[in-house]
Amino acid sequence: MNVVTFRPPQGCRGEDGPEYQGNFRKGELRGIIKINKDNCVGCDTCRKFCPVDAITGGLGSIHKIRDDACVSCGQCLSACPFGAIEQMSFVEDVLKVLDDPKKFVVAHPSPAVRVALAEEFGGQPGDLCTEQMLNAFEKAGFTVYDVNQTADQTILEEGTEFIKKVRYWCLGERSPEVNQMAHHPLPHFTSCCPGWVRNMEINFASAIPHVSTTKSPVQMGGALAKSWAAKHIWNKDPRDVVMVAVTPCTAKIYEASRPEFVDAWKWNVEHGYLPKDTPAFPDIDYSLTTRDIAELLRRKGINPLTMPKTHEVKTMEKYTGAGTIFGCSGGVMEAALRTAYAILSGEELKDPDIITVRGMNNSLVEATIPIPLKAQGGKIFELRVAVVNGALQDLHKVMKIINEDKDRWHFIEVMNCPGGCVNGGGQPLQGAGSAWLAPTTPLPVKL
Amino acid sequence: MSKYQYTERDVPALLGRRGFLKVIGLCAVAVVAAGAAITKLITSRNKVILDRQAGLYADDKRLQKMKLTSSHENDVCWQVYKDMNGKPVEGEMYKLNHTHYTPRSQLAMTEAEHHV
Repeated sequence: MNVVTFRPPQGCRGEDGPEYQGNFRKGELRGIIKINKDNCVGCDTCRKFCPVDAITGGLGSIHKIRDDACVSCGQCLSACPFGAIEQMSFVEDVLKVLDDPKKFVVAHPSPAVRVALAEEFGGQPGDLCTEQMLNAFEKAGFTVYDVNQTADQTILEEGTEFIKKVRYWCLGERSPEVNQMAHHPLPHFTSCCPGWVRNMEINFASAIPHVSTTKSPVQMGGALAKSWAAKHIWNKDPRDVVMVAVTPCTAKIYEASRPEFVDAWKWNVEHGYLPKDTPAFPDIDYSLTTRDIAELLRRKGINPLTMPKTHEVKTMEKYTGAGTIFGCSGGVMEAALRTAYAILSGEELKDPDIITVRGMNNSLVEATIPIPLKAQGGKIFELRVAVVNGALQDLHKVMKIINEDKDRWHFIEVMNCPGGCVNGGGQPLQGAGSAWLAPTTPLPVKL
Repeated sequence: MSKYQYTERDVPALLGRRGFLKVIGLCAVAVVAAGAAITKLITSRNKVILDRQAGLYADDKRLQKMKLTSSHENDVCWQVYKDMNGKPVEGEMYKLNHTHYTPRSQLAMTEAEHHV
C-alpha cells in the first residue's frame, strides 16, 4: 500500500501566528501526520498504536489527530489498514534544489534506511544495500554525509558526557572537568529519538535534566556539515550547502523545524565567516523519509538495486559498527557502552556484541554490565541499564519506577518506535500491525 | 410385539439432534481456522522488525572485521576535534553538538486561553 503525501500547507510553521501556539513554538511544523477524513472508516486501529493517545475518535467514528499531543512518530500511519493517514513531504522542494546548480545538496542517510530502501524496489526487508544506495544518491546529484558517521560523533559526545556523569555522581569526583554535570543527574536518558524528546517535553518534563544534551546524529551532522565540513572538507559557502536528512522517521521532519537548530549559522556569524546580518538558516534544510527518497529516486528514473554493488568509501562516508547499529533498539546503548567501557577500563571489550542490551522484539530490556575501573585499580563498577523498546508499551512503567527510585538504572535508552528506527514511521509499509511487540493478543487491546 | 417408529420425534428445542451436530461442527471448523490465522499473525508479526535489525547487525559484523567496531576507532570523528581545535562536550564543540529542551506544558500555560 502506498502512503499518500502532501506538500507543507500554508501556515504549517505558524509563521503568521503568535510566538507560541498550543505547545508549538513559532517555526515548528505542525500537522505532519494527518488523517484524511474522507478515507477514515473508523476502524480504531490507529488509536491503539499511538504512544501518546493523540488520536480522538471511537469505533465507527472519523478519527482525528490532536497536534498538541502528537509526536509525529507515524506509527498510526504504518498501522492504518486503509491508507487513510497521510504524511507531509518535501520531495518537490528537494527536487527543485537538486536542479539548482548553485546549491551543494548533501544527502544525510540514517542507518535504518540502508536495510529498508530495497523494499521499495522489490527487495526483501533487511536487504542491506549501503553501496547501491550511496551510488544512487550520487547519481541523483547528492553528495553524501553519512549519518552513521555522525552517530559515531554522537557517541564521542554522549559517551564522554555519560562518563563525566558517572565520575561526578557515582565516583564522587569534583574537578572543573566534571563539575558541569552537577545539574545533570543520573539516570542518563538518550536523546537521539525525536519522538521520545517531544514526548518527554510534553509528558515527562521533570526528566529534562536527566536527558543527554547531546544532539541527535542527524542534527549534529547538520551543524557540523555547515561549519566543519563546509570549511575543512568541501570548501563551500555554508549558505549554499543544502542538508537533506534521509531518515526512517517522520518525527525527524518535526525535529528539523525546531527553532534552536541554527547552530551552524550562529557559529559562522560568531567567527566572522559570514556577515553579521546573514539571515538564519537551519542546520537541516529538509528531512525525507525512506519512502520519500524512494519516490524521489523513482521520479529521477533511478533504481538503486540496479546500481553497482561497489563503492569507494569517502571521508564523509566512513563509519563503524557502533554507528550502524543505532537503527536497532538497544543500538545506541550498545554503541555507547563499547566506547564507555574502553574509556573507563582502559581496554577494549573482548566481545563487542553486548547481546544482553539488544531490544530485538522485547518491549523492555534490563541488563547489568560489569566494568573494571582503571582509575580505581580494576574495581568492578556494575552499570545498570534499561532499554525501552517502543514508547507505547513500557515507557510509562519505566518513568513511574524512575519517579520512585532514581538509582534503579544509570543509563536508559528510549526509542519511540517498537524495534527502533528500523520500524520507524517513515519506512516502507509491510502490512499493518508489525509494531506490537511479542504479543499475547493479536491486537493491542486498549479499551 | 413392539412397534417401531422410524421418524424422529418432534423436539421442543430450537435444534434437532442432526441440526445441533451441524452447528457444532461448523463452530469447531471456525474456531480452528481462526486459531490458525491468529497464530500465523502472531508468529510472523515482528518478522519485519527482526529482519531489518539482522541487516544492521550484519553490517556491524562486516565493519568489526575491518577493525571498525567502536565509535572511537573512527578517525574522521577525531579529525573534527583536531580541525576545530576542540574536545568533546567542551566550548565550541558543546555549542555545535549539544542542545537544550523546552518544557512544553509551560509553553502552553504562557499562552493558555481558558474558555468560559
